[in-house]
Amino acid sequence: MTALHVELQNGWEGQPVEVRLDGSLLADLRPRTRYQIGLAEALEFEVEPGAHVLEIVEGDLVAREELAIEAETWVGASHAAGGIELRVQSAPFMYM
Amino acid sequence: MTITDVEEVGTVDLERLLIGDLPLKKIPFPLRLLRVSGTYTWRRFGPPLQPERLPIKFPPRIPIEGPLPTPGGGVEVEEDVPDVDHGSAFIPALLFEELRLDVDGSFPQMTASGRSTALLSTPRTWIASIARIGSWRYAGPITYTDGYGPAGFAFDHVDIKATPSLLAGGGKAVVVYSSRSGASLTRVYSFTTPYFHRVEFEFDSTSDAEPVFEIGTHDHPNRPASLANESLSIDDVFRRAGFDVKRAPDGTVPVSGAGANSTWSDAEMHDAMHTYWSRFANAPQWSLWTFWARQHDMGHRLGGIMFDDIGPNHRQGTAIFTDSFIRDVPSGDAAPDAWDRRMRFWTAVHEMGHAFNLAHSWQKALGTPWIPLTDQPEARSYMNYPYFVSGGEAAFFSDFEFRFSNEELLFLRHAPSRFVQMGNADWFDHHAFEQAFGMLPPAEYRFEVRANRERAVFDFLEPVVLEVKLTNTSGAPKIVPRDILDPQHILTVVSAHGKDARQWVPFARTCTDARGTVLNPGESLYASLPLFAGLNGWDVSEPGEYRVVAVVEIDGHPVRSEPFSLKVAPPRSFEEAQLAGDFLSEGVGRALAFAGTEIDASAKDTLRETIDRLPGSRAAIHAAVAIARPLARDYKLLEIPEGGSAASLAEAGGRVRTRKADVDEALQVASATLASAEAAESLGHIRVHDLVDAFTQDVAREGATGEAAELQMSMHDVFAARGVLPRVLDEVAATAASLAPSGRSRSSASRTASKPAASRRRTGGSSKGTTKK
Repeated sequence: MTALHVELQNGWEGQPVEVRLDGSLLADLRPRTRYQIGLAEALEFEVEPGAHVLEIVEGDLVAREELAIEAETWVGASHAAGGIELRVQSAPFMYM
Repeated sequence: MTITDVEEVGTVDLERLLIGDLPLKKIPFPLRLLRVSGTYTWRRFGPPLQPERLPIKFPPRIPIEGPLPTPGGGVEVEEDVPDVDHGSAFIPALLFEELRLDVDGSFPQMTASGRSTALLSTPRTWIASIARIGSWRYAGPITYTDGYGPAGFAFDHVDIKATPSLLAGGGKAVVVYSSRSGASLTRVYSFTTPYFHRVEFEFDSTSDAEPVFEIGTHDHPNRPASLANESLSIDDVFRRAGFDVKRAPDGTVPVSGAGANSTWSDAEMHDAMHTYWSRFANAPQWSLWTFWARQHDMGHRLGGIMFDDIGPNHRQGTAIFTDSFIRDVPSGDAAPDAWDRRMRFWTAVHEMGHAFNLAHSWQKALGTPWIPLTDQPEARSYMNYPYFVSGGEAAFFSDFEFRFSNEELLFLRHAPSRFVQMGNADWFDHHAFEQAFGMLPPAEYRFEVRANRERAVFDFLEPVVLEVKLTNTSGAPKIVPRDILDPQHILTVVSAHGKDARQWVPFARTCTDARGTVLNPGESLYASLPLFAGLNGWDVSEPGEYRVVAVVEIDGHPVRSEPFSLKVAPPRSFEEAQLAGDFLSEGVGRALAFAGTEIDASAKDTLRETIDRLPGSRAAIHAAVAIARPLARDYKLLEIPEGGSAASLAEAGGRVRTRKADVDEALQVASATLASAEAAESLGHIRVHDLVDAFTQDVAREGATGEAAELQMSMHDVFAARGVLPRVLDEVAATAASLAPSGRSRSSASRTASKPAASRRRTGGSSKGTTKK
């Protein structure tokens, strides 16, 4: 098992959001961004290493990312250009 | 680096000049000192304001004598431009205006903005984008307005002729406002300060934090080639952004405040701010608490946070964490210590920028921007994340000039202050743009308007007399002008339900004692406010509801009362309604305001008729005072023979005649009414006290000392029954004793005088210390 971090960052205004992994609901929440650090929610899940599909769903908006998880992984999700943009990296996100 | 075209001399890098990087010998002497950017003020009364200043002493402006030199070496003659008071063209009850001119100095934005502060409304702001069109002359369209309502600002263009200030003194700006409809307005503003706002910082830290307040801009080799080599402090950064930065003494916050886990939550920091910040207040103020600590509850990956989005007044506190990723120096960096210091410095300015309501560079379009903004993810600004830009933090710092972006500077300098000021607009509301008096230092003074009665309901025809009270609510003694509460120095605005607000203007304008007097903590000054009539007529007379707001000016600050509501009752009888036409006249108003008249026979007739036809009424009490007061003394009258018209009174045969006092009638009219509970309620304690003092001095001079003493003691008893302070009762008893030293006054052991009447402290015709419980 390894850690998958999903961090809901910019543009979240309290609407219902679902975080799904391989079709299964991991979290159901109403995130609201604290703009002074650009972060609404920081979630952490234990997942099996390997291929996974991560989905962030808010109303009609769906962001989908195919992940090949080998080690601890961080995914940042923000509203951008009328959609939800995901950023995947192998290091923690920093905030200030 | 900003290059500013400076008149005939050529192109001069003022930024480099300001930071000491440009050899001064390259600049002609006068130019080294001349600039026009800064804040200019115009106000209804008094000298120019120090805008939004804190209760700290500012250096005096340096007076400039004679004409100012121009950049070309000539002499510029000041234009004689009349400053016509067009205050109402902007807004009614206008108190003062500020003009911010932003055309030279640090990072000029070629922008002018204005802010009008008035009673009963929020400040109004206009912003113009301007270009230089001549020698120290700038013009351009007004592109933004705030607070002017549906009708909008009356003008759409400004033409500004500035006279440079020398050593930050002596400048002025003549602004011609114009519109396409042909309307125009000229106003002259006086230079006040080279800054646009003032702000105070307090830096507190824990013992395990490692703050950085200053860096050398060349300490790290990765920097712009043109970057000036200088020592740069956090204060410098904000001064260049346009703020007159003052520093409160740094302080220490015990680590135990972080709780057992030794890291800080937002709530813990908010509590620490309440406890350790010397200036904390739940109020808007240009003051910021910056807290250096080791680590936040979020751990190593939070470098800092403007944590104060809790409670009613946001953005007053911000924090930097020195055990966080901001100290993770990239491996192999050429100057690791300089990198580390620069990042801590940078983070502090970044977090402080949030307290000024600046959003991150990539969030500009989110939330409620004050003007339409676009995201600037590549901006080399304190408000970006260095590691977010293309090429990462190395690319960021290679171009970073230690400054805010132009859009951010426009916001900081020119946006409506409520959007920027700490504790005012909520965080991220109009981020990246006050109530009219939000700039005031909180809790220094309390100014109140009140009535001497439980319910502020006045009878029809009853002249409305209120009371003002100024209290020093700070912890330190204050010096205020002795005549500060003289009604002529109070800006009083009355608004009747459903009608426009009107300024009450007293009949009399006198020269009063403006020397300072000490007001100790908790101590108050009081004065009577005879609001019933003035140069505008009977402002408060028709039945209905009224709202009264009063403003005094202290050290250049307008200090406003809360609105006071009162009601005038409808007529209770046909007699009252019938008398109204004569009673509510200018003559009667003047006679009541001046406590009597001998020459206005019509007013006297009306006053006597009021006493006869409305016995026992409040109006009759006021009328009795106005009739009795002149009768109590030999009254001087100027007589001019009929048809006399000449250059001087002597040539016209004018002479002064004295009408002898009629003490018996005066006492008959006054005794039953002047020292009564009803008079104390209707005239107010202060006015009754003053009137009885003056009346009894007059009748005593005519020999009626016993009656005078009796009247003083009647007032004593009325005041005692109404709970007036023993100190005041002692003063009254002492006056009575001094009037009838043979013992005819009804003195008692409990009424022993503590000091002679002549020692009463008076302020602008009102008593100080006439305090009710």
